[in-house]
Amino acid sequence: MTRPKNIDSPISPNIKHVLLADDDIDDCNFFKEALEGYQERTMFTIVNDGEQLIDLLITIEHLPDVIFLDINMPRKNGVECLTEIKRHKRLEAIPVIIFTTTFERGVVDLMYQKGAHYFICKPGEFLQFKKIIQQSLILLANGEIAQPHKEHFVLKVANTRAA
Amino acid sequence: MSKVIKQDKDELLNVRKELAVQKVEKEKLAAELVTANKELVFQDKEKVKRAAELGIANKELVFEDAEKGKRAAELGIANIELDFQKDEKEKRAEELSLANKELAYQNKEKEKRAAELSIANIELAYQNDEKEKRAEELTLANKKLLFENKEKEKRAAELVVANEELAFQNNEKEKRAAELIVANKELAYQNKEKEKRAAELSIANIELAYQNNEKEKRAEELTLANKKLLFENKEKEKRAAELVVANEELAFQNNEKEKRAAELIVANKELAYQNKEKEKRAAELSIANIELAYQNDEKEKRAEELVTANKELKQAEDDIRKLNDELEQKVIERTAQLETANKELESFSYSVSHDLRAPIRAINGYTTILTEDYAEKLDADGIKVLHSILRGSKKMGELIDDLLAFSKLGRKQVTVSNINMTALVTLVREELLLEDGDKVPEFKMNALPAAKGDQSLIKQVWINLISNAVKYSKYKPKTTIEIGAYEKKDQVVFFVKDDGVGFDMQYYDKLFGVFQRLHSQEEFEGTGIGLAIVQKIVQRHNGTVWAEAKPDKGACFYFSLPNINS
Repeated sequence: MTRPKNIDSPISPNIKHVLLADDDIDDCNFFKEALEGYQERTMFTIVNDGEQLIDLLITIEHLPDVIFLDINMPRKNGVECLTEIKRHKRLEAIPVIIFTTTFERGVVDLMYQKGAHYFICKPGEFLQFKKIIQQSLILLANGEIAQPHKEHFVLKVANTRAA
Repeated sequence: MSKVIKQDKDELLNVRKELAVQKVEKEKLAAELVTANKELVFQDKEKVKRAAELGIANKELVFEDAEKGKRAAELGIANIELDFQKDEKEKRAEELSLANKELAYQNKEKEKRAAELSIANIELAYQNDEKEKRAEELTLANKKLLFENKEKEKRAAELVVANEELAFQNNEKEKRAAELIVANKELAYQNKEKEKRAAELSIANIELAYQNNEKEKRAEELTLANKKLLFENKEKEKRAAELVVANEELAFQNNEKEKRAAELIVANKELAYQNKEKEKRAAELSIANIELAYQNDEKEKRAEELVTANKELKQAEDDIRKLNDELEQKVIERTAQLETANKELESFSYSVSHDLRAPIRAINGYTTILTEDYAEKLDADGIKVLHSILRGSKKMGELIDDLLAFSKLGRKQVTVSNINMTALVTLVREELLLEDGDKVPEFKMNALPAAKGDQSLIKQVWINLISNAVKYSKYKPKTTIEIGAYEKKDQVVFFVKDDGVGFDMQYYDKLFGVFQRLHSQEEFEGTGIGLAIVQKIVQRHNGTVWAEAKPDKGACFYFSLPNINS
């Protein structure tokens, strides 16, 4: 667990606390890097598995404004975490953004059904990685509290490539 | 006894007599031969005696010759004496000469006699030879006679047998004669019976004569009765006239009946003919029946053969079915194995590419951080290297994403619906994102018929084909893309045509291969997955994809889908 870190958030003042649950230390570092300079007053918490996430959420005094949730994690995976969060009265209102390497139709559908807010497939390129995290935070900051329509569920860095 | 037997008997008697005469003759001849043999023996003895005498006479002559030699010696001495006493001796010589002549003559006579004896000896020897020959001939004759006697005895024995046979036959004939006698007696008895019958007939005749008399009496009575009848006849003639009329009537009726009879005869003949025909027909039918029976047999045989053949066929069919079942089972098993293998491969390529994404992201991420945060601490070359790492990691990330996308296609369920192609292509055109250096394309859209397919997958096909058209036209002053379709049987063929760089058809085989490219990365960016994805999607729709192109003259890509009516 990384210690909470206050970061200023000029773009999204509504988002004061970002929680990331990811077992990949590199991705955690990149995530941190992506937020740096943009949201200096925003608190950023990292947990490395689902068990830690649920324990933290149950015990924490100030709930995060958004949870970035990886799916493949040891012990409790993202799907189990999401299920528990959405069943928990105190937690169910927190927007959950799925942040994963997986991009499968079935998983995407399942996550939407379970009540996730957005679905992000981690881009391979760091610049895009950064871009999409910021994009999602802006969307949330602009008041997208309710679950969006299905066709806007998957967030993508605009890119249509051909062979 | 029959004549033949008598003749045989006579002949037999004659033969016997003849044999008796021959036997007597043979005995005479044998006696003569014995006498002749004795004579010959006697003559031989005489000849021996004579020969002995001649031997003695010869010895005497030899002795006399010796004496004559002595005498001649004495005469020599006497001659010597005589030489002395010449005169006397000459006289005496003359006498001696005469005496010599006489002796010479006597010698000659003796020699003649000796020669005659010698001839006589030769003659006797010849006669002896002849006699020996004759004796041999007689011996042979005797042997022959002996053989003939034996033959005759055999013949006699045979005749005895023949006689016995004849005697048996005679007995048989006598028996037959006895039977004939019996038969004769029978005939005699029958004759007597006939005579008795004749006598009875004679009595019957007398009876008949009596009856005739009676009949004559009766005739007289009948004459009277006739007279009475004459009267009655007249009455009857009247009646007859009436009857004539009736007869005529009857005659007419008879004629009718005859006609009818004739008709009936004709009808009968007809019937008879028909009967014959029927009999013929029956015979034919009988033959036909036999033929049919034969044919039935043949058919039954054939049927049995067919049954056997059927059984064999059934067996063969069963075998084939069994084999088919086994094959099908094998196919199912193999298919299952292949499907499992495919799934394994897909999940392997999926998890490989999936797991590769995190490390490549890490490389890219840290390199980016280096370039952003540590740029001042590196010189120009160091930064250049970092950019190379970034480029490589970006490219690798794209390849992995494409591979992931391609491997996902195989696992993705194809959900078929009717697609409004015009709307879909319009949407793709609107969403089309242009990269740096791309010109805004000028579209030439033809009417597109609806087709069956998975909307999201077909959308990807359009995206890839249109993006390609844009990309490969970027060195042309203007980008023109024509989109159209035509129907072909139960398929719709869509096409995307550009006038970009095109390609050489000799590399056509590589066109749809995964990660196969016909242009360098410097000319046109890309991983080489786009057309592979297009082909995979179209194939999953049971369609075909193909292309036509010429270097620098543009390319046209076609893909076919089932139309909505199929």
